[in-house]
Amino acid sequence: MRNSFAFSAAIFLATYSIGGLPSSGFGQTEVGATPRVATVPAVPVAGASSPLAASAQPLKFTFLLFWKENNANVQQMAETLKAASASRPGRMEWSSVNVADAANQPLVERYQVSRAPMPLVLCVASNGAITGAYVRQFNEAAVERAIVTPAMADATKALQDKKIVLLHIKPDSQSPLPFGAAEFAADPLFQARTTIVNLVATDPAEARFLTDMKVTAEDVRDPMLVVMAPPAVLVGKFAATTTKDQIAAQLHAAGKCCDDPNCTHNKGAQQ
Amino acid sequence: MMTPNKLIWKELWQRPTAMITCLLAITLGVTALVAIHSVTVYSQQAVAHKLEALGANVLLLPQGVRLEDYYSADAHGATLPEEYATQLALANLEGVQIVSPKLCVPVEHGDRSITLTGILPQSDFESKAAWQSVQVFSNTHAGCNKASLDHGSRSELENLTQGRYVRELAANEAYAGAEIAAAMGVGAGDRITLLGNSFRITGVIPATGTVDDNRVFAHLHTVQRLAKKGEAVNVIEILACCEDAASGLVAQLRDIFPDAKVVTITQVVDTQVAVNRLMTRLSLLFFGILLAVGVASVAGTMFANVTERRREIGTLMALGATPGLVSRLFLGKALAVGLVGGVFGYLGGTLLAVILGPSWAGISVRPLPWLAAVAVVLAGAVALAASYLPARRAALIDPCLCFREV
Repeated sequence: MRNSFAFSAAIFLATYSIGGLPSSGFGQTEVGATPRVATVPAVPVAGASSPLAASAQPLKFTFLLFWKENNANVQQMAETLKAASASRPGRMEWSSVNVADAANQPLVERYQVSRAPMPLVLCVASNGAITGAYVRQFNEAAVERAIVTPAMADATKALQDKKIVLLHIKPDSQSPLPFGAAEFAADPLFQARTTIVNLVATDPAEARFLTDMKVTAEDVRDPMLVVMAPPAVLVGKFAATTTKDQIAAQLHAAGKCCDDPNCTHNKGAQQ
Repeated sequence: MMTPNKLIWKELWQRPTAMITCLLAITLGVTALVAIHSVTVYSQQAVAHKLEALGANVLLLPQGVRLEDYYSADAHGATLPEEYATQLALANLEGVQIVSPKLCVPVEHGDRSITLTGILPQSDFESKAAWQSVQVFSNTHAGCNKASLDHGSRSELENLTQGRYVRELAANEAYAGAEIAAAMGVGAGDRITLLGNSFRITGVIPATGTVDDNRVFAHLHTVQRLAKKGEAVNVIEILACCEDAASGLVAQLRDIFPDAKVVTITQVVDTQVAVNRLMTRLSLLFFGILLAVGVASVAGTMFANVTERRREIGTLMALGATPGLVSRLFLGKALAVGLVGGVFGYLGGTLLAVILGPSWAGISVRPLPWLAAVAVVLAGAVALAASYLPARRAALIDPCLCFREV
């Protein structure tokens, strides 16, 4: 089991200090391509702020196995990670972190896991997003779930940064951001807390993302918008013709929880 | 000239023992009724207010802890591991809005005993819950997870008063309850030293009328360190989106934490409502018993009075008093005692409730004016009913027989 401070420190530095490696080449440049959305460039576009965005490096994942007592459960998790890592060279790596080891305290403090149930596995994408957290139970299927697509990692990172995510699913890389979305993103009320994530429906690397959202590439003849809000709420899916006010109204409803018409506990909606 | 009112007044003052006996019986009965009823009314109001303010809460407690009051849910020695809070965050349960673990430690400050409550800021929970953000992609918003759009609409003091949580709290910051702050003479910006640690008072929580008024809230990890309690908490309070969502959470929480006790606020309120109902019934039972004792006492005293005053009654009737007047004299005397007993009983019962309400039921009680009318009318009616037969017997006395006895 790899358990050296040097390795942890290397993972720490490599993974977290850069604040977001490029996750993909999702059309950051398309945003603002039409004159009508000239105000949009002020809105963060996932990956665009990274100095390495242009290099289009593939997304990598680091699995951190935090533990206090080296028991059979930890061993089993380590074995799972070892096997998973071997079958995904260059795509994922893992590190064992003994939280009681003073040398690992920077990492423990960084993720505030000193009081978390152990063993705990965190999967950290190279853009800084935590794409999986597993307590006590961990298997190959969990590894697969944690290794997300680039757009998923971007959206996850934005949500973890408490941003509203406008996921722009477009039929081709040239499709402009729908007017309603651009207007929403330019609105002073939402501008500072909105991130646009672009996704080309035909991109095979994003097939899982579309499947998870129950969207097929054939459905995306026109640009489509999926709005998500922190901490982890799928506000809704919108057609390209949706206005800013409609998006804002839906977002407002999502902030009301049981009063949201989409909520299973909304009595009014069930009548 | 002797009027019936003067006769009644004279009679009462000439025989004070009988009057005091009747008065005492009625006063005690009314005092008990008013005291218990006042406490019950304010207790019910407090429960309703708490339910409205707290909304859909679920409590995660150590097994075996008895819960009688929501606000005192953390005031016991038993503990849970703090890691349960993280486990809860990672479980990504539908409808969980706020998670607030707490640890209570009794501390001395000068000659005053206060409760130092460790509380974990909400930001800690949210940062861990965000680790599961990736799950949002495969879930439609059919559930009950509230989007976090604006944290600035409510102040931390409002969060503490209404939801018993804080969003942010630094290691050496504290919030003081209204009562304790007044007693210690501290306000926002002042410093207090508890368990050898200097805390800066970030704010004084407005009075809530609960045990929170006598607490100081500080960061959980600071309190754990100072009290050497380890990574333990007394309770984890979970605020669900709505009551329906809270009910749905119970089964899931029991699955995840089989060694913990899961209680909803509705259950706590039901318990308190049941206690109130019991108190109401007990007050009626007490009143029934005291009523019977009072009636017996008044009736006995009046019968004795009639027997004792046969000759005076006979003389009065021989001088022209009608049976109706004689009857009215006795009933009037009973009514006067009843009304005075009602007033004294109301005053005594209200005083008792105001003094004992905070310590007995943890609520502040104020006088209920409408209860004064009820007490006086009821006491008068009881006294009249108890005196009816003795008065009737007095009215039927034959003056000839009385003179023959002379």
